[in-house]
Amino acid sequence: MTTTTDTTADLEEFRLRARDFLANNAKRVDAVSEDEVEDGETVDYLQMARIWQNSLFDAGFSGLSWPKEYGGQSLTMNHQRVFNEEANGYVMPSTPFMVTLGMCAPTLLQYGTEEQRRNHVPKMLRGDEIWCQLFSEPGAGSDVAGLTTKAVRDGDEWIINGQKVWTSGAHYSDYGLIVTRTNPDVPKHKGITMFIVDMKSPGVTVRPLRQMSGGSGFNEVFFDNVRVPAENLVGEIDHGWMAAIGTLMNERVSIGAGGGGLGRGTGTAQFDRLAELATKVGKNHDGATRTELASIYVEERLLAILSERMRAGLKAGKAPGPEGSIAKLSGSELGKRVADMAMSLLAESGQAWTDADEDSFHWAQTLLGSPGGAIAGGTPEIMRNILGERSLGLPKEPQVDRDIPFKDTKTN
Amino acid sequence: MSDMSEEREALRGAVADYLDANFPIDKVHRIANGKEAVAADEWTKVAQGLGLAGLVIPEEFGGQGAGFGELGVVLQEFGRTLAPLPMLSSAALGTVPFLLSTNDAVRRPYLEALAAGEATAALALTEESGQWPLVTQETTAVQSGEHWHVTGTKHYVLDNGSATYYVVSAATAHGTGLFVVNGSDVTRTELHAIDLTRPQGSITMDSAPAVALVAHVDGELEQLQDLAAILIASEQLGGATAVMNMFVEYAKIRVQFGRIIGSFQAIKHMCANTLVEVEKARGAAEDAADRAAEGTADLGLSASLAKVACSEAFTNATLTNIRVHGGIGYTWEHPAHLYFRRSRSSSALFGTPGQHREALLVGLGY
Repeated sequence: MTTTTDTTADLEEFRLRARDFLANNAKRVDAVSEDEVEDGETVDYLQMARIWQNSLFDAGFSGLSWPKEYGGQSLTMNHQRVFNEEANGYVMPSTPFMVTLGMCAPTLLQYGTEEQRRNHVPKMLRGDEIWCQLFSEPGAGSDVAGLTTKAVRDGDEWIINGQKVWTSGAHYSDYGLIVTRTNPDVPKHKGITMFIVDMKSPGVTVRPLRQMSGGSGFNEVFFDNVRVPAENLVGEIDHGWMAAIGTLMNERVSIGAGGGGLGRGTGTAQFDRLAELATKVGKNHDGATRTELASIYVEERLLAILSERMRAGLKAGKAPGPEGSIAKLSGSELGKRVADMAMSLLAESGQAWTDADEDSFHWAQTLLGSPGGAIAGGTPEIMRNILGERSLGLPKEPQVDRDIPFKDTKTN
Repeated sequence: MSDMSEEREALRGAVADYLDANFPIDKVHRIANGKEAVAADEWTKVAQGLGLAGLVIPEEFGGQGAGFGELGVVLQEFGRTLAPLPMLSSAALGTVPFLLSTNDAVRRPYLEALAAGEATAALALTEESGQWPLVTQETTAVQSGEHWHVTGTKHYVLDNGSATYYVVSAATAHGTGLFVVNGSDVTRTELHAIDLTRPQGSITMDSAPAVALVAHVDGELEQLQDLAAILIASEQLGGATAVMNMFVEYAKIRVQFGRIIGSFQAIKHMCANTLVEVEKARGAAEDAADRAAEGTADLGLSASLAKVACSEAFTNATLTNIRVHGGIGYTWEHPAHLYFRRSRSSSALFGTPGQHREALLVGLGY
């Protein structure tokens, strides 16, 4: 693909450049408030994230391993690793770009037209365009291929009607990747088509959904006779399922790695914070606490190494394999474990707190977010099916809806 | 980067071809049952044919000059097949102390003999308590003039019966040293071992003549312990991969309730859970081996991580293997127990997961 070298000297030069950039442009984690580090939902945070992404791009640190012709740097995985090492300890406000860069851009690179790639990917890398993925529906959760949002051709346009749900960031997105039913007379996987939809189009209504954590990162999105130009087709008509699978695989890599393709997750942030908490509550010499603490370190490091290796694979030109499911599954299990351990260490002080107690607030948010982490991007059970069937080649459960026209299947 | 991985895959392929042809699991099983024996000159043939005995020995001593990354790949293959040759015990563990020494005059004859496959060396650090990291050494070394003599007992020595040399750690008047003792100068006792495919023993030395490899260790003992954990982790990874393949293949052909059992989610998810553990362990083992190739200092965290991950992936996989197979998997004639046994033994050797968890916290300053 590219002939960029990554000799020790190249990497050392790059490391110094990254270090200098970060020191001059990024904030240290320990120098900012909780909101700035973690919030992914407010307008202020979004603005901050856009500015940060602009500066990353302008300084040549966005899309390090992505092709130059689409706004990347055509550097190597080792450059990404070096950047991650240097970025450890700095605030990387990347949440709003997770879907854009972790899922939508790779899908365009793989399945989009040359024009779509050139028009959008550089703007995505610069933070000028934010994207969402419009896949799940009220009646199609684990079984996304059971979707019923319709797209009907009308001359040079397609008309979309239906509803999507659990759409992260739809309320601030410029564009979305939507999968639609274009042919109900064939089996369900064979009549699906993917489009780029401008979220400002007439007929698009975005309503925030409040999650059990109290936050509103998700939305329901309604499509009422929304018109999409034919050149917004991604891949082929009725063959959008493969592209959708590609997006979902990228999503798992992205969620598992916790970094939206931006390359986070190499540190041991959860462990560090828990170890500090254990010390604070005087439990750092307790045997059971130490065992669990060490296990969390182990899991966090294993996930970081796995993510790094996955990115190396992607860099080497391999499409994301079902291995993304490993990261997704492990990441959500780790999240639950971390929250449980924190609550156990905090005891009563974890379930009620004063305004001043940032620690308890942080852990309560972590706890309340953890069930969502397991479901987003596919439940653990779906991940295990994918690993069993695609990675290990085990046979599927007998399927009742695979070979009959979609219109004849049982739906919600 | 890709050149390196291609070279490694070529090495893996060559070693796999040799092992699959010469040590299929039914043959390993017969050897474990004492019904067949490994040819006396097999190791010499391997050393000279594939260059495995001297894989990490520098070329100036007759070796291949490869790194720990390559050694890790080879150990994975030996772990996969349970081949009863001293790859881990001699070509890895027994050789590493000579690599840590800088005294060419002392180490040259040993390294040349090891590389040629004419001799094997066994690492003998642990004493009867089996604690890890090593605590006080009761074995002592005393110097008189130019000569050293070692007295004490070492336990859990791998492939004990056949070693030409032992590398032992011993307390001296000034600290701890690493010494080479000839096999002919020790009393060997075979231990009863849970692992039927790798003999273990203890050695007793009563003022045995010894050569000081590192008379006064300065970090070498820690490096040796870290490397031992990293090397056995690679072997464990190979074992975990082998049993996973074994039960996944079985889940694809076994029929119950009118269906291939692998189509049941209960079975499929057991298989998937193993895959998750094995792939994470692979990352840890290969990452640790690559770091070892870059330098042998400060490997503690990587070593413990690899040992925890590979021990648990392997032990869990061997139990899943028996469960997916059902009754047939619990029989003596099925190879499942050979892997189950190896996994429990290797998990305990060079630090249990529990000991390494504690080492991680201590290493991180907690």
